[in-house]
Amino acid sequence: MRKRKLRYKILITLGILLICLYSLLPIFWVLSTSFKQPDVIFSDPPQWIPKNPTFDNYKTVIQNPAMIQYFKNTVIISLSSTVLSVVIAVLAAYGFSRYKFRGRSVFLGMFLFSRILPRVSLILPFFIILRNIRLLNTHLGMIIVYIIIGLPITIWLAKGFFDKIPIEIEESAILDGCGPLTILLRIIVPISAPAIGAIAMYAFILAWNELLLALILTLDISTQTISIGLSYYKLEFGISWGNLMAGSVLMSIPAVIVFIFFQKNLVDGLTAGSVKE
Amino acid sequence: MKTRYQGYLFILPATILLVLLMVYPMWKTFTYSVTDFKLIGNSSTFVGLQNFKAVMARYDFLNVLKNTLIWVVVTVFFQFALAMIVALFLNVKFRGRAVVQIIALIPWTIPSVVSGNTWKWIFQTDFGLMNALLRQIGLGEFVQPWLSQPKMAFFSVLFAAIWQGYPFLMIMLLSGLKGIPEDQYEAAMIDGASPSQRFRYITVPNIKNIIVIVITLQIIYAWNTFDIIFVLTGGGPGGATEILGLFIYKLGFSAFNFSEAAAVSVLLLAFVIVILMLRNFLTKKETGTIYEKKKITL
Amino acid sequence: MRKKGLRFVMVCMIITIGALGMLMASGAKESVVEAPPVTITVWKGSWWNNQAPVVEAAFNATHRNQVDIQAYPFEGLVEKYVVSIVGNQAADILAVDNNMLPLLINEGLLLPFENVEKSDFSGAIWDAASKDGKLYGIPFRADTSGVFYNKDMFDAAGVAYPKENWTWDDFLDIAIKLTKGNQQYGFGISGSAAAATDFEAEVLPMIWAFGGDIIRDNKMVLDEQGAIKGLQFWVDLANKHKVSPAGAVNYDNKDYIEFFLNGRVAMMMGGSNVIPMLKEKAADIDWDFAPVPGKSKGFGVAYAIPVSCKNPEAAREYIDWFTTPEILSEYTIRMPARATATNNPPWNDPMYVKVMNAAVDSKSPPLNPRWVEIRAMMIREMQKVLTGQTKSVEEAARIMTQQGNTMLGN
Repeated sequence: MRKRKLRYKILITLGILLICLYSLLPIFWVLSTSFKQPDVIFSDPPQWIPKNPTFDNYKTVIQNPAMIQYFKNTVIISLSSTVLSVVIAVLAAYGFSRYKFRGRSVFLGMFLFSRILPRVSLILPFFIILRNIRLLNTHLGMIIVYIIIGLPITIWLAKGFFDKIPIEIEESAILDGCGPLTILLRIIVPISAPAIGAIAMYAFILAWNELLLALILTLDISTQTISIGLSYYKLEFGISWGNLMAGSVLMSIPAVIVFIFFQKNLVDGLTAGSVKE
Repeated sequence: MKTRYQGYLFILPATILLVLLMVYPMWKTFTYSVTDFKLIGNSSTFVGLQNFKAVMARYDFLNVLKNTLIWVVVTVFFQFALAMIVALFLNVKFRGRAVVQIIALIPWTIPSVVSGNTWKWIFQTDFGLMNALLRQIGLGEFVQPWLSQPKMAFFSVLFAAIWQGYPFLMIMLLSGLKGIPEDQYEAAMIDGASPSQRFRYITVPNIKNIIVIVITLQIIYAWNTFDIIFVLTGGGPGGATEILGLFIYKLGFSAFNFSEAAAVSVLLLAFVIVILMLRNFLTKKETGTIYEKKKITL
Repeated sequence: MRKKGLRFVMVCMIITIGALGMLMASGAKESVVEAPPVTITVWKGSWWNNQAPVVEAAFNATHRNQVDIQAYPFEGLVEKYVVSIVGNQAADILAVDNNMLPLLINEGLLLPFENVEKSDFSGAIWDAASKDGKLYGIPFRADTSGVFYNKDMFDAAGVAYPKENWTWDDFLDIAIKLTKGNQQYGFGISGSAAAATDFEAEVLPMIWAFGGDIIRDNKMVLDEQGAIKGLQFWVDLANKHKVSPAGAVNYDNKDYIEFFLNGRVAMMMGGSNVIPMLKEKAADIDWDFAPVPGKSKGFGVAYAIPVSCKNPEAAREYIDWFTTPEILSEYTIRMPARATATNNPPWNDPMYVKVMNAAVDSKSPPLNPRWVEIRAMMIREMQKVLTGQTKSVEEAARIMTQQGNTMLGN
């Protein structure tokens, strides 16, 4: 028994090590470079750990007044599109999962299209639509674009999850006189916490990191996002590596915080009890 | 009868967005594909299937299709396998699991302008980090021109793409795993089922539909891969890493041939529609809808 | 932007009402009402981000019309331009480089300029902005690619510096002498598909020097002997003489800058924009510039007015202002496109003067709207030669000619 426990422990430790190594190796370099003076960034052989670490890169990024505005825009756009995406997707997924109506599979398929069409086919029409409804260069415009881009995944995944929930629980609720919205909010959503957490993470990171649609559909600093701000560190000639890496680290921190927040949903997922209630 | 409208009501917000933002692009893509589209003016004329013929006659089209096929199969397979293993691992209770989970997600938070260029730096032949590391730890004989040799370049780009894409799949699968009622496992344990049996008879059936969805979406995503390839190799060497996403982009904004780019998009759409219809046809009986089937009026 | 628009509309209204009032007050007396001042917008590449406010201030202080300059990341700039012009929301003035000009002109996205004298504008970029005798862009930046070389490495190997009228054979000679196994290379070729302009800066001058060309009378001529010789010369640098590093097929100038700074490559290609970077980072290296043998590839950027422009006259006013020699010399941050705009620093620095003189004699890449597409195809096929997938340059030239002709619609 003890031997088995030891083997189990070793396996777990090995797993942890492998995952961390694979995920973090490039990140390690991002971090290391972000603390380097410009003259040692390309030293050969590479300085894996900076000998004279500096905060200069971080200072440059933080002291750039535009960065604050980029950050604000990104937060507004990402959080709003995350919340709205989840609400819209959960509603739609429930509709697709529990109702039979004409054109159901057609609609469901149509939601995939924003993912199938390549960017080349999307940007010009998106631009013209946003212009016509006067949402070009606005937060709202970017928010709805990110929602539609994310919908294929958010809806399909939520539906996949809902489909697996046994309908018996709902039937008893219906007999108790609950309406469909109540059932969705009181029963389905709590059970589906892991799925909702996952699609929220997806919706968030989509808006947080997206660059090319943002480049085209925003015009100035009033709506530009951090990913645009970072791409200013890509110069005509080469890359301002120290700043880019520092900016990237700073940009990842809020994303990690959001992940930690949604992760609670994943840990406290479905338990036997919640189904039987 | 009433329930039908309720169904529509649930999907209404999403449908409004779909109609607002997707119908027009779909229509435009379709019209571009059958006309000789001009950016300015309304002088484009109907040309039938000429754009489809022209794009298929392109010298590199078959090569791109072949690359895309291999790319999609290989990326989706490895991303899925890796994501599944990590998700299963993270579904086991151990100390520090929450932290490991976040670490596994970190590649996802890195914007592609950073991850693409960092991977390029890693794989660079002479000043690349990978080769420097290999030399430092005494494995100098494994030093490679990672991005400069066609086959190797394909796998290097693939490696970077898997790294970038697996956290998404992992978290989706993990959410599916978390949704499996624990009493099922408990019952199986009591019956003395081995871990592999539990995986086969409980885990897989329970997340089967999540797996299907995730793989479907990832296939679509994989053929549109653009950023990471564009930065790492631009499609080279010799077209070895050129796949549809890059090909369509070049048709559009290097060749300014929006009609042919649209033709490829229409082909992709048609492909997906056929697959979906096939899937619907095959799984028609499974689709359960409580509010209808059980004749409960709300 | 919208707020600005609103403010602008309000200002306009107030001025119009005021003007109307004055008109009424002055009775029916005939008077010419001066047009209200407008704010024109300019879009440029991201490297203008810090300089934009300086230029704005200089123009706005001396003009009734005002200017608002936005700098965007270079990634996605073509898309942004095209989508915005077609969507009727582009800036009044766009900075367009020589690659993009023929494409945008061909699609009818730019307005022609009237009454512009060629005078001392650089040739290559001027040509790129012209079509059928009309001018679609007024150049403000001109440049060319030449050879930056590490004098210390030349001295160490006892090799004489490039002479004024050197040939590609001299170049090869030097490159061979400066190559030491895989530790040090004479030169590095840019084979990367991710940096097409670096590829063309090497290959075009070689093709031209051997008497070849790429496109003549809308027909591919890469299968002519001169072109084949030029391409063969480029391939041989890497495959036969091995004066270029092993990763060359996926390298571009940015990679070679690292080689150069580390003293591992003796010669690298580059334009005037390399100079400030070398001055800063290569302080311990003694380096110099030599024009490539024969004609070099010229490039540059011009101001263009898109068809969607709302105030072409005001836009022209700004362009004319910015491209006057004194203003250009003072406010531009890249090498000016006019020979007379070089009288004050940094443009009178001897290093810039060298590049500038080379630029005067430079030649534009093919001015065909299909060139960008053909170039990408050429890189793909030449990479196959470098990696041995295509057996010979002749074979590649045949394939490229055939494919290029299809792209040209022949």
